[in-house]
Amino acid sequence: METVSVRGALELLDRAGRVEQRVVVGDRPLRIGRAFDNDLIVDDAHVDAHHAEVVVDENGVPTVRDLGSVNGLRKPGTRGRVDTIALDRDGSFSIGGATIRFRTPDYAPAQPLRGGGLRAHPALWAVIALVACLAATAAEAMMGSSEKFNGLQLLNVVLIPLIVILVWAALWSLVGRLLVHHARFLGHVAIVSVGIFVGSALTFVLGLAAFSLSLDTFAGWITSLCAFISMAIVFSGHLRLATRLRARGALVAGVCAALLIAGSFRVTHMVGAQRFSPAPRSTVTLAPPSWRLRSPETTDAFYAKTQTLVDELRDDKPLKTSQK
Amino acid sequence: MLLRSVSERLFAVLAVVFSSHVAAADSGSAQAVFASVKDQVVQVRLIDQAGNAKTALGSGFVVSDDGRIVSNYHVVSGLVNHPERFRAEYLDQNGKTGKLELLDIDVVHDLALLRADGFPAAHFEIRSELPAMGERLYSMGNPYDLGLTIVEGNYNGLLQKSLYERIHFTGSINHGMSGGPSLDTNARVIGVNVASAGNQVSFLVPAKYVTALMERKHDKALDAAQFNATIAQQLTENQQRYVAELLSKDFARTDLGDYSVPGTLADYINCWGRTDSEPRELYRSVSYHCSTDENLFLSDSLSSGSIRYSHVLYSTEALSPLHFFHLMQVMSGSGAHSFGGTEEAMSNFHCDSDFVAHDGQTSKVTFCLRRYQQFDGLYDLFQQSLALRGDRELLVSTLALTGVSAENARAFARKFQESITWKP
Repeated sequence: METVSVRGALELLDRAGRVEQRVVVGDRPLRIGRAFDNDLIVDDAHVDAHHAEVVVDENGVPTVRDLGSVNGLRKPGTRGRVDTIALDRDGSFSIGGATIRFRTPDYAPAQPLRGGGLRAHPALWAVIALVACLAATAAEAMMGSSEKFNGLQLLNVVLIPLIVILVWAALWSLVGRLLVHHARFLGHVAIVSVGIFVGSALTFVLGLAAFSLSLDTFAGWITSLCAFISMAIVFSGHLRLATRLRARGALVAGVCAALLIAGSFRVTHMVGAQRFSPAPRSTVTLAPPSWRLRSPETTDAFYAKTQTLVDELRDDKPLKTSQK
Repeated sequence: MLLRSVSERLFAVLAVVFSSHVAAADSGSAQAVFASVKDQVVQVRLIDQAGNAKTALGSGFVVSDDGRIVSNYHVVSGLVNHPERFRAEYLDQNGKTGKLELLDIDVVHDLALLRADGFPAAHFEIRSELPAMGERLYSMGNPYDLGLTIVEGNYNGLLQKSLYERIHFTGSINHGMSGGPSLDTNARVIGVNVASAGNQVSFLVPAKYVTALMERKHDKALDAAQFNATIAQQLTENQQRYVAELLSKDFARTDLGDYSVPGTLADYINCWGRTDSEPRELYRSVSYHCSTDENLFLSDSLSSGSIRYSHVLYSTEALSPLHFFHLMQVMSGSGAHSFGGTEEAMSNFHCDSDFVAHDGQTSKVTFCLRRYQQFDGLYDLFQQSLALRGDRELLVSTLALTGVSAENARAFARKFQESITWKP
């Protein structure tokens, strides 16, 4: 009877770092690729039918070797392709969009996943984020209504954002399915929910701060800042999940996209403020009186300051700005 | 038979009464007045030069033997605001038309003095003294382009609660009659048709302002810049008159909850109160609104010379302080009041906002001004003051003054703010 020497195992990882497939590495060469006749099948459009093979060299070290593939073999976190990579203890490599790692036999595969329990349960994450988001939007609607909310109205303010979130997440899932062959619907739901929640909460908190410090003239900028942060979270998260971008790349791309959109809204708003309006456009923030931190001015000081407005108006021909 | 006899007698009595009434009405009757002056009343038409078609209609009447015609400023304001777009014409009772030239205006009393070359010499006589209460008057003009019309009514005195002097005429003045004369039974002008509140409640500009306008020097027609300077001067003098008077004395106060706030500041300011406490609403509100009833017409989109202010005390028991003030913030942001006007006529509002303390009361005050582009030294003011005291109570006071100098705007706003006090 032939004895098989076990050198370790190859593990194909998903985006979250979880093991999708595992295959034992012995003395026999292992072939990796998209075709069914491989030992480790990688379902990725950027992986060749027979992409690479793992062989054990004369020193007994498993080595992965490129079989002349289109996209080559890479060390994780690098761009340049290499012909071979020696798989020593905890070694890993990338082909296409997939990451594969090598584990020696003494490696304990049952060690807990990073991030603890919640990370292991994306559905729980998604539900928590979604509930927080819907609670925030419902609270915002209720706090801005002068009438008591009945059950139907409450359902209405929850149902519409819920549908929008689910449709949005489904669209990103579709993108992910096309680009990296993974829908990750719950992940997208969690991301958009977190983005909306953070945006709403920040707007509320910074609005209170604007009142406390009498920074009403910056209210427009605060709104734009919150929208930017919210969009940066959403776009970065979606790009990370639905493309091959790594964390830093997704963050940069997400921030750029958010800057572009929030910036264009801000510019549109500022251009709009230059246009004529027959009504005052000043924004007033309000909070309970005890939240006021800034000392009040005397009427002498305040109305002396209004002379500045008169000077601005006299000097400004034709007159343009609407808000100081 | 008996019935026929009674009816014949009744008919005879009625015939006597009716014939005596007609005989009494002959002197100074509508027929007589109309016949005597119909050639001195014209239709005033504003013509759009591009389309060569009428764009506004009013009435006018001849006041001098050199063809001067009086009408309302609001009828011919297009000649001042867009001289390149409009021209004015008259149409007399014989169907004759001719060009009208704008000589002078009085925007405060809504009067315009025009000249028609080659107009017949006959003209109206102006009656300087006011009629007696109840005296019969006739108003003439061209309602709805239906032709010259005479309307009978009565003099009911000068408006008591008005910033601008107006005669209360009980008779129907309709669209198109603006600028026409209102006459006594001797066909003397006692006023100029200017406005109507419907149901035979109409208003006239007293004839003394026609006399004052005619007495001014009019060597030649003014250009647009000169008209603007004239309007600016008239508006400035007008606002100085009433604002200075208001500022010279303490503001009358009224109580609103635990606050003392500016109340009816003058006879010509009309104030109304209202309490809203709907079961569905999460708050109660007690409001007090005041405004002048009239304002000065400057253009189709802009009026001036008005005072408006309001105080609304909001309170709640159902809401937390954070919820209540957030709701107040949303509400205060949704009801921005439009002041009218166009980009050519007005600047945008410039605003400043801060916490302001007076007499132990801290408020959040937003002070906004915008400038009249064509009338130097005149501004519109908007001020909103949010009195911050209780956790479940908010007093929102707003003030809007239109067509005032910057100094008067600032002084009035300050006095208004200092008159909002808390009285525990």
